Amino acid sequence: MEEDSADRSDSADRSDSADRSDSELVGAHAAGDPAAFGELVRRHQDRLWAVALRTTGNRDEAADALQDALVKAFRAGASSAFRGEAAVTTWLHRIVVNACLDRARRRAVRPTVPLPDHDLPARSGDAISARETALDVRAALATLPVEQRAALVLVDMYGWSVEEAALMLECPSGTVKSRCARGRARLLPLLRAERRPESGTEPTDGSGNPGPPTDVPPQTSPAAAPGGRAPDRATPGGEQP
Amino acid sequence: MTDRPLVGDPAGHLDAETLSNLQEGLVLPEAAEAARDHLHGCESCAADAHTLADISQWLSSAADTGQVPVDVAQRIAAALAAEPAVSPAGAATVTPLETASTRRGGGVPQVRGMRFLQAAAVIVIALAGIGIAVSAQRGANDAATSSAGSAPNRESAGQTADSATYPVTASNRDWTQDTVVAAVPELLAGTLAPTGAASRAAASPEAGGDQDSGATPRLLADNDAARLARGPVLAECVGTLYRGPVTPLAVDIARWKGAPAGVIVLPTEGDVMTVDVYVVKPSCPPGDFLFFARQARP
Repeated sequence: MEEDSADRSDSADRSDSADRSDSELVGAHAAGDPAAFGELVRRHQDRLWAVALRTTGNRDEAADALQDALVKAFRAGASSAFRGEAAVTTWLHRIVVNACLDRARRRAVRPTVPLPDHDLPARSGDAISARETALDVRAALATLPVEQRAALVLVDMYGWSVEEAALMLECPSGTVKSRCARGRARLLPLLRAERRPESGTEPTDGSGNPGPPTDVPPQTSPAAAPGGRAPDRATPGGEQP
Repeated sequence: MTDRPLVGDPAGHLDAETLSNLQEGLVLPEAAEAARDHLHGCESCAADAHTLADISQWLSSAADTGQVPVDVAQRIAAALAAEPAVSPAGAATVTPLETASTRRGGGVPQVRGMRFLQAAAVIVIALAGIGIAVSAQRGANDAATSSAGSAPNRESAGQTADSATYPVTASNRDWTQDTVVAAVPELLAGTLAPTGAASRAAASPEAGGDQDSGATPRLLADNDAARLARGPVLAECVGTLYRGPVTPLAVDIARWKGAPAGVIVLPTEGDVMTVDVYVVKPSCPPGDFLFFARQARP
């Protein structure tokens, strides 16, 4: 791969990088390949941005955190100590999430202002209710303590497994479960209130109350949740390609 | 947090956290069985259980699926471009990534190990020269005998004069972003006075460790970050922060947000006018420092 690289153009170089796995890119970066880390960033920055945005709940903080984290990753990626670590995506998420948590804790004394959602497409028709729901969800999420928010962002919002989230948050899996459980408990009144005015959003027994469940729906298995999370959301990251 | 009575209250309903814990499998078996029994007969709690189970879907429906905003991507690209390119020869070069992208090849990764060994050797030698942990007592002495910004009073710590040495203090201070940045001149001068436990430890005659300095390494025993004062550990840590061999400018065994942490000041690659301040966990996990700031060199 490297023998004929001197004859290629920059665009061909990027294409070459795109063919390599994340681990190969980190190794190439450490070896001095100037295009490798850029490709790694291009590959992951959208997801890392999304996680940063929802974890901090603040666009500027998210941008600062993501920048700090990627600079840190750039430097750390040049270290031989990184090779052989967990999946590169997990490593990148860990750095970004930690940067977000640090920033969020520092500004904990200040109230969180729900984000203006520049990123939500302004569409008409049926999309309006979906957009409003997303705004409600994000505003609700921003009210949670940052540790609970980070766990829910990773597990529920972006579908990482509890084990993967534990690696990213540097805590035991049980702690992630507990944070998720407490976070969901805090969100319950908000979702309940959102549904209350709209009859028909839940199965009812005619009295306005839903019928009793056959059992408690478990949250630990995404595919089994009544919410119907797509099975493939359990592994949104992983090594690429 | 809960808006419902707990189990055992007259109404006997399950509160939100109990329901949520139940769904996560965090409730003990006997209590879980009782809760499920209650759910089968309580429409209100069952409704909440359904709503709770939908929260994951509710959250995932609001997941961002767009691209990183252009302005954010641009500033990240600019920040990365300002980083010195990784040199396969081990010598840091200040080459913006865009410029470097025209270069080819890049060698093979074998140099990393060699660079690490070089870094380790430099630091071990340096530490041997200064007797490793200079200690809180030394910091106190220096604070009394050195003016701010001056070179550390190495004699007071029993150090040998060596241009490759650097101050290692054990201030045990609970640094914050602002205070650690403001303390860069003192860190570099080695004039940090110890605080709190450090002062008490410094006064402890039975403290073992660095006998030459007369110091005090009980503090170091109480602070997990003290391992960073050991040459090989510090060398490994520095190796994750800096490409190529480098001698730290200063090390402080301290705290960050109440937890043990080390402050390591390194020269900025390719910029003699600034220094890089890292706060690291005691384990110094690669790529995961607690704080970083680039400051003008005093």
